[in-house]
Amino acid sequence: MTPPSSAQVTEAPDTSLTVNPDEQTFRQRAYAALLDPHIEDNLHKPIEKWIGILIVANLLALVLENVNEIYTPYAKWFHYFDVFSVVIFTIEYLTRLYLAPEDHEFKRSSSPHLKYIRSPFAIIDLLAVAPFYLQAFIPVDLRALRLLRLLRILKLFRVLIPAWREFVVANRGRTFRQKIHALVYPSEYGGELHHLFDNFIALWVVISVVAVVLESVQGINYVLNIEFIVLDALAVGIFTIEYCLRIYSSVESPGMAHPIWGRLKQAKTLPSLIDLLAIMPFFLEAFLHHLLDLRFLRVFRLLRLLKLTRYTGSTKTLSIVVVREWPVLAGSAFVMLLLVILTASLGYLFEHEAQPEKFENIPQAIYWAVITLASVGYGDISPVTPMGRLMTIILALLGIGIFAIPAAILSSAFTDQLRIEREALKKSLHEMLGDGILSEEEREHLHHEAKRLHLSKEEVNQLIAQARKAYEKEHDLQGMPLHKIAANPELAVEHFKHVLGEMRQLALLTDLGKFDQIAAEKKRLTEGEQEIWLKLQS
Amino acid sequence: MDITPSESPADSGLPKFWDQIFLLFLACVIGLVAWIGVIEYREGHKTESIKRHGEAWGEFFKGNSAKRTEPDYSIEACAAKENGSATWGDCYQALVAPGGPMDGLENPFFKTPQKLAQKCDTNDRSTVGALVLEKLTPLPLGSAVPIAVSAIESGDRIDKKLQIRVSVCDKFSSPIVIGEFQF
Repeated sequence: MTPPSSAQVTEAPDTSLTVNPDEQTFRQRAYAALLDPHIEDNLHKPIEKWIGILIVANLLALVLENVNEIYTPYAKWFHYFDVFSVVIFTIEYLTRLYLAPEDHEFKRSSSPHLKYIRSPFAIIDLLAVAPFYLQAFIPVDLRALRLLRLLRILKLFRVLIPAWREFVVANRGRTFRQKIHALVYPSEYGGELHHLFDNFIALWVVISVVAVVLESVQGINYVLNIEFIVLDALAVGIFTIEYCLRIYSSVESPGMAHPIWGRLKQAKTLPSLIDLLAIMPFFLEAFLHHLLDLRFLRVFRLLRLLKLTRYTGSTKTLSIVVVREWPVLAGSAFVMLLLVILTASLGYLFEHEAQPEKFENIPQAIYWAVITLASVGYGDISPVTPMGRLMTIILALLGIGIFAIPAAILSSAFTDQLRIEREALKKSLHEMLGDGILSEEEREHLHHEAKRLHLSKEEVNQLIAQARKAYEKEHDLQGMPLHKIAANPELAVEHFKHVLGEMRQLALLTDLGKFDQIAAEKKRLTEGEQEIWLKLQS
Repeated sequence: MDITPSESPADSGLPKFWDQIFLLFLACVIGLVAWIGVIEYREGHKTESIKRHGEAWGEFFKGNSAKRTEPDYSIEACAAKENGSATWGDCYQALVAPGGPMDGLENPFFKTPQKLAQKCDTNDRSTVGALVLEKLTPLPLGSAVPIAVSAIESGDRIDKKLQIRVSVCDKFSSPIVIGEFQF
């Protein structure tokens, strides 16, 4: 089953805006630049994104306002932020109101402005700012005001509802489990809702990691102890649901169809193990704290940061590089180990008598060797004998090279891997251009890959231009040898038509009388050729 | 169990038997997280409660630091008099005695009166929720550390001003420092 394209899912773009830009009114131009979702590279997406961030920031501010220790000293800044948010939301509301006649949803109405005001999203937008203006006229209790400001959450529906609609359409006729799979794993069925899910999880990862870090600051933990407990329980709840959804729906992924082994296979993957590690400390501490002091497990909550690796291709590239270069890295590590043991033993041999308390045994000498080899040089253990000092000189000089080897290997392999992936992208671009057209989906895939490979817009355009050139060259039959054309029946047909066309042109341009005379006199053409020549003229 | 991966014919999209089982399991897991969360929240409130107790001790020390040098100070056992014989043990008993300013402070972890411990000991569960009072003694210049910290002993004389660090022990018996006060 193929998911409907985005064009099928969303309503058709308004063609009235495809008129000459010079003939457009200011309002049309403003709508096209700011709010039209059908125009690529306009400000619609950045505006949606920043409004979304502002809503989330408002929610965080609302939570923090309830902590007196934070709110009281920074009340002024909270107020400024509130004013700033209201100003932005008001500008957004008024802009949408002004541009409503250009929106295809309202433009057919006799009164687009009124229709916009009565639309659910506009009511939500108004509710988000109304309490602020309300308090200017009516004395409202601060707690009631905060409660009313919670209505700003509703603004998220402006993003959620279209994404949900798109998801429903794309997954029509699919099973419940397939829908879950589409929501949690990247697929052609996930659409915007999947991206929102990913962003939601990433946001909670950041929140929970920041909370874990701040928890270790005694002054902050003293004030926000309860808030941290609630936050952790919420984060674990969210991550646990995510983990269950991923494991349950993993059987929809290719190669994981078996209900038990498939799920076990998924559970054994690195991202799933990271997911499990992110939630396990919470459960272990809750159930086993009477038996063991498991507070050390709390540090493992920081592993949640690793969950973000799912959303970045760079870590995947790095792991490929490490796996590929593992034999060389292991070789280099072996040399390093050998050098450390040898020099530590010699250091012990030369220095033990002079400094028995510092070079007490070989393990202690290993510490000295590693610190010297890594060019750290704490200076707590230093040689005093001439031979020991000579050893230190040799060790320090070798250390520069030895430690540089793995770094150089990794760096060159990383660059190499990026080159390979860019070549692969170039190849897939050639395939995409197989039909001579770059579709919307192909373009999106291309942008996604370009982002992953850290390619700038100019580089992508250059790649597209190169691929187009190659495509045109490939389809330019004139410069191609005949056996290559013959190998491809499609090209052969094209070539035949081309040759035939040229022959027709020849028949039209040449002096037919003289042609026939020369051909007949000198017997230059066979009977068959003569017949074809006559047919071309007809 | 349905094991066909994707590409099934048109489906209503509603949860089937195994989906319902999964949803039930998910609900149980959410319930479990919520239950642990509530327990943690209550434990957190117990910690908050002992912090308030510690703060009450701190407030008392702060508020009575000057008063106890006055001749008619109400808590005689804690009064600072020249050539007096007041000891910390007597003062403490007077403070926690029925009707005393620190009477009725309960250890929420054990529902017993809050006890005074020498130090928070992670290996000793009985110190959970306890109060720790330490005296800070400045050391002579050139010492490795500027201040020596030691537990106040019952027999310690309190006729002169004391610098006291108030701490409470959390549910793991780790110290939570409330503050340093002059008494």
